[in-house]
Amino acid sequence: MLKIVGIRKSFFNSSVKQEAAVDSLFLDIREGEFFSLLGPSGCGKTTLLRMIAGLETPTSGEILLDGRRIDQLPPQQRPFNMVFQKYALFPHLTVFENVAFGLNLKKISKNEIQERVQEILALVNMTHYKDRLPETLSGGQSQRVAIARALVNRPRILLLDEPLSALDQKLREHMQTELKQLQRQLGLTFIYVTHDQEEALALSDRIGVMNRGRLEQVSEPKDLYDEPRTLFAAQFVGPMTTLEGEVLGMDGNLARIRVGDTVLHGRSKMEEPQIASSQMALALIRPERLRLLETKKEPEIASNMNMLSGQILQKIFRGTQTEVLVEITKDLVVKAIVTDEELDDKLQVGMLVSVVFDPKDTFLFLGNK
Amino acid sequence: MKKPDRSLSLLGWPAFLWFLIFLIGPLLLVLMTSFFKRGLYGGIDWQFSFQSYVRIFNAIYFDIFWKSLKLSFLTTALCLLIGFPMAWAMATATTTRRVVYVFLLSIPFLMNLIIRVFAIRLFVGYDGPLVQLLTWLHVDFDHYVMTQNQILVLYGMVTSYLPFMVFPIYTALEKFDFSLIEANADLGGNSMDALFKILIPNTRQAIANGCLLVFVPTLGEFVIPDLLGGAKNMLAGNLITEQFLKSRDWPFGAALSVVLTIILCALAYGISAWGKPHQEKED
Amino acid sequence: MEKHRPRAPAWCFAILFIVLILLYFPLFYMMAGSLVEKTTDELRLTLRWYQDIMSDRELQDALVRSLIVAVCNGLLSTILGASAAITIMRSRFRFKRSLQTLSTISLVMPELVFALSLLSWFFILKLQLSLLTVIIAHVSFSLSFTLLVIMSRLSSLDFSIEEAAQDLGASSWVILRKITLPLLRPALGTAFILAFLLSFDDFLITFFTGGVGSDTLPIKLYASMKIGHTPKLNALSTLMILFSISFIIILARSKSFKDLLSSSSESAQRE
Repeated sequence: MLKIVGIRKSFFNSSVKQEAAVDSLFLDIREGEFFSLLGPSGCGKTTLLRMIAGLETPTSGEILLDGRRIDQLPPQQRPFNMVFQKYALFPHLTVFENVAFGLNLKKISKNEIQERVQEILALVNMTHYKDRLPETLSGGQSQRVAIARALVNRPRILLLDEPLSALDQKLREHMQTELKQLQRQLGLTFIYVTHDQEEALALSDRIGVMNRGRLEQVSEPKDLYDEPRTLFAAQFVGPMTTLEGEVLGMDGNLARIRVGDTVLHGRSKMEEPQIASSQMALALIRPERLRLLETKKEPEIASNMNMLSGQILQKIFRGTQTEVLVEITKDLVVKAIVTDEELDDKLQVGMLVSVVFDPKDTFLFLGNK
Repeated sequence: MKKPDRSLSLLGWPAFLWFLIFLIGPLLLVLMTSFFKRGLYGGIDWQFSFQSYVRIFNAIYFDIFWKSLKLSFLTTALCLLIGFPMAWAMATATTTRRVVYVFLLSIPFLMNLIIRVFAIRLFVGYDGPLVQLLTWLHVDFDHYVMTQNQILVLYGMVTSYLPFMVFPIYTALEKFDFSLIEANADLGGNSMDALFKILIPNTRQAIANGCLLVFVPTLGEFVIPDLLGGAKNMLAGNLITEQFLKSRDWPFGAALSVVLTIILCALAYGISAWGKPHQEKED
Repeated sequence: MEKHRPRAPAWCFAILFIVLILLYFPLFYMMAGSLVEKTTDELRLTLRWYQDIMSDRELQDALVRSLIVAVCNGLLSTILGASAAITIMRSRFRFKRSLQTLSTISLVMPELVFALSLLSWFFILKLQLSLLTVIIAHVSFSLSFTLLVIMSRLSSLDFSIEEAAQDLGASSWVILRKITLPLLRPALGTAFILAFLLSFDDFLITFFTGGVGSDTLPIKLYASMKIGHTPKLNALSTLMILFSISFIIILARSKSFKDLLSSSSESAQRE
């Protein structure tokens, strides 16, 4: 429904010509989906959102809604509404007046306004607070009002700019559930900007990972986690254990790299011509995919598995799981995550172990630490 | 990022035009006037001439300017000498006391200047408490001196403009990281080291601002010398006023104003330049 | 929580107290003088001087004039200052920078030069010196103060509030009327009081730009001081002080004024 075509935005500073905040970006948003823009601060995700809202004008490129260009329309003529990072509630208006603000401007009858505001306040459980001023509300309540104020206008898309970042951890998790439920209930399209990868994974139908003004990868959460396509996406989303090595070449459909004295196989995320040259590459593995075996059990390991030998350096208890640091060589320490309690009990600091992992869980990218 | 709106620009015009008509207009007029000749019965003879500027180099006028500059320098220096310790004391008082001090200092500062000068005149005047105290102590002095005196003008200037010095320095010291002073004490420095090696270098900009805020208005001051100094102690401000009101020699008055403004701008520039680059280097 | 601050040496506090005493003692002495009647060798408490003021038509007229000038100046400066501040902070006005420069010029211009230049300007324009010229002159120097107060408030307002209004469909004029101005209300009040006070206490500019019959209270005070002093002057000064103090207290409580004070130490540098 919303199509972003080659959009670019650069801010000109009087002193420095900066690189573009958003650079040649293409994106399609589908009707009714929960789409997250994920990236570190300064990656351009908020700028992209503000261009969709109409609060920034793109330097070049187009934004189309149902095939119609909207990028030159002022924000008030776009059927989108925005939930701002710090709520941006009108401090001099009551909750009710805040929510009714947009409707009042549309010259809708008093009765209908009353009805719609009541309905939306009930939806976000804020009916009792309708006569309060924003300064008397807690963070979570303010956020509900901000969402209600946007939703009451029945936007085609709800734009959310890190709406939960000002809340504490517990409240944030609670609000995540509420948001997701709200979105399902209304069947509304959400574009959600966040820097919190866990939040994006938990909420989204699809995630666009952004870095330095560009989209690195657009995928469903599970794909993003299991099949990162770029080094940045792999390192930004979820924990990764990283090994550095030298590219040796292709071996069937797997690539080979040498890490220390060991040759590892992995799925190449490199472009074909780069593979032959003996460049530095990184092997990334999810730490929970690393299996730890006592060294004497080595014969049990299938020959097509990757394996590194080392000594347990440290165990860090993290509640539901245990992090085990294994020293392979002096310069190389690998972090594995163990969730199996029985295994956990057997592993002792100082024990010699083999770290075993499947080549299909190993992603190889060009680059170095 | 802001998204400015063109139609709101309309709002800028009234103030802009007001400034053009009632600020720039008059100032340009003064500048122009200074290059014309004096009219026969006051007013202006529209003939180009440097005559007024040449006249300034007359020893009498030169002397008045020099005296005014000296007085302004002296006032600024005294304000700094008194104001810095005051600001230091204020900034290190307890939070509630700080508010009280700021309030106590700002009341006379926001009050009518005439009333302040009047109160000073009563205080040191003919049968005021100061004279009575001196008489009681059998100090010999000339009663006349107490009412028309340059020391008195200085006193009036310093008490009137002191807050302009104290407030910027206080604001800077209020935000100052005082653990540096503790470090100084820990390393064996005394309070003089703290003052000269830590506080002053770190508040240069505020000191420059304070000096600027004191120096600029004192150089053009008219009321204080007029009421406390008497006719003998004419300063630049009084001289200029006289040209406009009594001698009706506008071109000369205008030339004097232009010179005064230029001196002020040059000094202001110098003072703020002193405050600035070091600030950046130390950051 | 505030970190402990090592106190300044005692002599700093000594200077502070001496200065405070020197600042206040003359004022108290003057106020005391307004309540005392001196006969040959006796001092008597009296309200006579205040009664004198109450029955002085000329002073009452001067008071009325002072109030007219102060209120007109307050209103005009606040309106002009607010619109200029909004333009500078929120629009694409072509002369935005020049507007700021102009306001800075009026702030740093020596008051005397400013007053005299206006005097000759009115003369050239053939404007009869009157209360009107006084008001014009007062607005010209108060405007930059009100502009500063309102600008510093605007810059501390969360801009996303106005963006939210825009997002909800408000045009810039609607935002101004429904959001920005209501939020600026305290700053507008502060600006008005500040302009009022500047005008009410002003002597120099009024002295030069006022004509016959436009004497305000400070002018009357100056004129009678030139003649010599009577306890009636003490009483008048005392009343004016009390009047100003009540406004100063209102000012000191306002947030926008505090914003301005704390920002002025940095911005003064840019002059």
